[in-house]
Amino acid sequence: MASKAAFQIIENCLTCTLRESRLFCNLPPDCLKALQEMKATSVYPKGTMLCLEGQQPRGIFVLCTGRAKLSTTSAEGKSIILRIAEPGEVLGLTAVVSNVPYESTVETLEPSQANFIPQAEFLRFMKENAEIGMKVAQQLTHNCHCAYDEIRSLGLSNSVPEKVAKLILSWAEHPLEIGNKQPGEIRIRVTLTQEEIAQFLGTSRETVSRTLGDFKRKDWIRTKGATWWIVNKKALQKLVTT
Amino acid sequence: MRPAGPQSETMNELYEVLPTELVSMLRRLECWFLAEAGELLISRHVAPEYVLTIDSGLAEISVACDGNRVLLGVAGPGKILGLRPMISGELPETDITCVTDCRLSAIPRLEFCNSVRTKPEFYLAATRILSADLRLAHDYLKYHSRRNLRAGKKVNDSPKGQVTGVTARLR
Repeated sequence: MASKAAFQIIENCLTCTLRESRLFCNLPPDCLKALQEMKATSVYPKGTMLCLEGQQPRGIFVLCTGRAKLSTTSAEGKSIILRIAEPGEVLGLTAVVSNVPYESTVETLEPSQANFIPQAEFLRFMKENAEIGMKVAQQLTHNCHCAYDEIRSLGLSNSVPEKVAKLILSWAEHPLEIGNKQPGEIRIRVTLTQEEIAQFLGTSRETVSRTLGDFKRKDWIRTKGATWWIVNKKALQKLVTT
Repeated sequence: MRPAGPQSETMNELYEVLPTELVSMLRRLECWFLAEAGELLISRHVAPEYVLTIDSGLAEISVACDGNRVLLGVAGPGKILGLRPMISGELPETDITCVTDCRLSAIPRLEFCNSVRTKPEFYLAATRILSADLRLAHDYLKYHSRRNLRAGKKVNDSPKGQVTGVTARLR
């Protein structure tokens, strides 16, 4: 792998050590070889818009590393974060498959590598390969599952501390492997600002700030920039009732 | 649901875009049912036995939420149900309930899966259907955002058990 300023670039899907743990990337070697030839790999800094809501589809992005937020505009013109895309996800699928404009804006939350595959080539590849079609269908069912979870949580009368605790616990499923931490602590990277967390949870930045301050005072979490440590996971879990 | 006699061939959103030979193969696997208004066709967290098509009648698609139901849309003739659990192998996340008496075509899930498993044209068609379902869910989130809740507009104003929300015909 090439590296630039400690950012690991994965150039070859066939030799990628992460692909087996990812829904879309876990493909037979012949499919991977074909994908390798049609993809264009790029590294994007934080804040790059990969797709714009309403833009005509150009192709899909496979997020290799980093995270991206998917947001849309509400009827009132406010920005709503639909979800955070994790590495391994395919972005822009709905638009490319149905040939309709991108339905959300995708913005990188941190330096990210994404593989771009043009629409025509991807659709041709899908028509020739049942395996790819199945993976795309599985990705879409996963996306539906996330959307229904969000719809369900809209109607629940969770308190803001419960929503924040639930969000932190979901991030804890992808902890940072290396770095300083005390025994029993979970170290995570949080690339969302407090305003973005507020958008995601449907509350105000001030309420998020107050809630996080409360968690810190109780020694449930500690934070330093984008690095957070979950000190008392059990306490956060007790807060989550659904 | 109770069994019904065979009927003349009807189209659904999947058959419309599949090659003729694949449609013929699937039609040979069909059986038919009648369901009454109020009957649950697909239940959340229960593996469906069949992939269903609504031949006539209407059914509502809802998401259960803390005793309430959030209505996502109303499905009409031609709508195919149970595709997502068949593809993912996971349990459904939605409830689908007859609004009116419905006539349904049904293919046993395992036989459906075995017939289409190696067919790329099926997956291309299925992904278009799934994309439409996903757009419906995102549209709901867009028009019933949490910011609406903060501004005092409730998602479910009605007492528990009643259904509220956006109603959109899917077919």
